[in-house]
Amino acid sequence: MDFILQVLIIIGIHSILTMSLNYVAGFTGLMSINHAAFYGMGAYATAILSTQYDWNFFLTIPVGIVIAGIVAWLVSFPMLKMKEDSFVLVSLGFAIIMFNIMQNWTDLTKGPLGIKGVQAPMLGDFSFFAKPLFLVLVIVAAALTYWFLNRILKTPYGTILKGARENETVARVNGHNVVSYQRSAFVVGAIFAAIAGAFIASFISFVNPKAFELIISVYLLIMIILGGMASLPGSILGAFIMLTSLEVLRFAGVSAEWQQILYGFILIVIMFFRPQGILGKYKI
Amino acid sequence: MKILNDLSFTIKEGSITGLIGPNGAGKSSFFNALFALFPSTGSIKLEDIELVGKTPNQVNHLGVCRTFQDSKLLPQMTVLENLMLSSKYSETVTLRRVFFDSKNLSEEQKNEQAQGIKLLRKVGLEKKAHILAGDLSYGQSKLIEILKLFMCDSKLILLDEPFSGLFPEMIKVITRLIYELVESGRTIIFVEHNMKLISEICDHVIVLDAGTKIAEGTFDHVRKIPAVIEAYLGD
Repeated sequence: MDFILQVLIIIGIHSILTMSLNYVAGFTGLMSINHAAFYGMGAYATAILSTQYDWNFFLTIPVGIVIAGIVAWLVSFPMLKMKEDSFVLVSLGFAIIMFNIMQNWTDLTKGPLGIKGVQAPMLGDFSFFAKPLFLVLVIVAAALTYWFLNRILKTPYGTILKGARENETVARVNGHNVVSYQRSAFVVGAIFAAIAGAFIASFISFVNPKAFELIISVYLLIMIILGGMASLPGSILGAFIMLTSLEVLRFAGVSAEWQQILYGFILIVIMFFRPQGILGKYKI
Repeated sequence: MKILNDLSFTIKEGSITGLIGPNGAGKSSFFNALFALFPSTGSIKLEDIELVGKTPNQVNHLGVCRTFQDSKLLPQMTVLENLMLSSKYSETVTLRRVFFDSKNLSEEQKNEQAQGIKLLRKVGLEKKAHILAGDLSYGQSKLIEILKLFMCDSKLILLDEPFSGLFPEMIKVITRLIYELVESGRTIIFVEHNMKLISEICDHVIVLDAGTKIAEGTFDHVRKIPAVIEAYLGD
């Protein structure tokens, strides 16, 4: 039971990540592979403030949000000058830079050793340390993420984001300042990634740079492509399938290398036979 | 490289002006220059407001809307979403309003969508409102492109070959819609190769060749000008 709760919590946290990445990549068309960098910023904000300054988990979340939001806003200026393939490459560059900062700014992040002893969420004297309670908290956060993003996407604001994804020239000729919409989507995506980061830091009680390296962003992309591009339920489904299959494969004794090969294979098969993913509404 | 050279003309408010000329004359390039889709110098004024140097969305906000030679409906969005994208109203929806003015927003959104459905009903396509634009026929796509112009709050409309590849019945429907646009106070410039349609619809015709204006006036006037006959109309 404890194991199942643990898997469900991880799926819940990844659902926040995949929904926010889908908002950026699936709905807005910005194929970002640096989502894990913002995830890391939220995680490190919580880890550092919790272990070094004894901050409450709930107070660390806004700090992670502000840091990720400001960094996303700043890097969006050079990134959004690039289009399509070039944008992917620039986001790759940013992911590499962020990973190296987490790895080498040892005074702040403790480098590859990571930070241990991140506190569980507390509300007064009430602790969410127990897994069922932590799961409830994660479900509430994931539900709020769904509600927030869905609310935007159901309005003309969401229509403009999709329009920018489909054809920037048409969106601009129709009167929309495409870059400002893309920037807002990128920042919102980064903010939710940071929230997911706060949860993972508190749940595992440990952060190190490896948890936020490039391959994590690639896995997140595979999850949304599998579950469905431009679909919030698809984002949750993709996280569920990928993470449960990971546990099943681990249980079956399949090595990490073979798991990676399998994920690569899944991505290739999806792109050939169902490019919009299982519940997706957008073909890449 | 100069594509348009010393091109100067004035158009009358509420008129339909035909822009004609051989392929490569610069007709679509003029539309693209006006919309800042490629860099240009010179001056294009709409009611004394300079358009050169503006971004495409700024040009739109000044009251200019356009269609493209090939249908530019967004295939992975629904027909209604395509209509909503050109609505001026959609630009007023900010993130602040999404979360802090949701009641009014929801009401406005319903009205705007009802307006879109009403337009679709006008051409018998209301049942297509929620299908993907990529699933429409070529003729239907052209028709929706024209309906989008009713959603945008424009003074000047640029139509780039709105009739190309259409069968006669569809041409009649689109012609009717163009007249409706003019009756609602819009001014239209349109590029077309079908001289019969130009002669029937346009109040005024401008003839381009190699990026330069070679004639202008009524169709009956320009068709007799030797330079126009030589460059475009032939015998």
